[in-house]
Amino acid sequence: MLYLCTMQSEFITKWQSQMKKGLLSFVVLQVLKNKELYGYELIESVKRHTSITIAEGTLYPLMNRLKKTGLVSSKWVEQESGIPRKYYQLTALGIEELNEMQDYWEGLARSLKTISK
Amino acid sequence: MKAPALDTKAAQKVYSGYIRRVKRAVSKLPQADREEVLMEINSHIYEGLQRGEGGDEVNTLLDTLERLGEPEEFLQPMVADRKLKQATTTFNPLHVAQALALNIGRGVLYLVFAILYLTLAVFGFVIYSEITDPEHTGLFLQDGQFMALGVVSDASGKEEILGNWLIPACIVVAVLMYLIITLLMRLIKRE
Repeated sequence: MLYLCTMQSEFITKWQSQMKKGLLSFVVLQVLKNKELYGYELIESVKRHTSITIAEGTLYPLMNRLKKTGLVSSKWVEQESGIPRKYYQLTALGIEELNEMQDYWEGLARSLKTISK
Repeated sequence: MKAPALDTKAAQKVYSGYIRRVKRAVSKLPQADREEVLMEINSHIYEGLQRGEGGDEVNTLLDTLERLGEPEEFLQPMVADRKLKQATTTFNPLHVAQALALNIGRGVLYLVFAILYLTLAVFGFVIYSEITDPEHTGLFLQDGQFMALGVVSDASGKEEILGNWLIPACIVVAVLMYLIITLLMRLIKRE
């Protein structure tokens, strides 16, 4: 019985981490919805919302990809420290795609609810 | 690029060691991308240091870097993407081989492509055997129907139709297939 329990929780942990990884770009776009953010801030925000446990550095290639697909744009902003910050913001296409993702997500949640009834 | 101000020798050493690893990890990217990554990581390190709670500088730095992760690992997808783009636009076999090696861990798709490329080796084998054992090598017909391309143990009763054209034909077909597979990889990666 105890064995079964540990099996199950291991399964769920794995499932959760896969879910989080899969949802990462959705979360990133969501976080950028209301406000432009620079890398470090963005990561803090993502971590706060998802308690995700990936290496923080993985966010940068992801941002690069989102930029190449045209969902976000970025600009360097000079700082007093002399070390500029790179701010990311959603593009018009990004907003559009995010809304679509949101609809899909809500549809999925609805159908899951119907199944579990 | 301006480095964050660090008071201790130890911290400076840790910092420059990490930056060196980042530089090495992105050395295959184009100049502009390299600079961009480097500046962004530098900024991340600076912001991390700013948020350190007055504690030991070295520890704050080490903590920030640990959370960032291993540069060779987290920057790998960028390098892999770049190589793939290079491979499918230049058609250079060296880039193709590197792109496959870098991407093979990212899904079964690239394994399939690797296998497709490997099948091209068949043509190399046929050419080799045409040189060493021409009697038994060729495109054979038996009773007017396709029988084999390659090496047969007994050539009697079979008709070899390519003759001296076998090697050029193999080269042409192999090159064509190489182009098709590479084009296919370009189309699929764009998704």
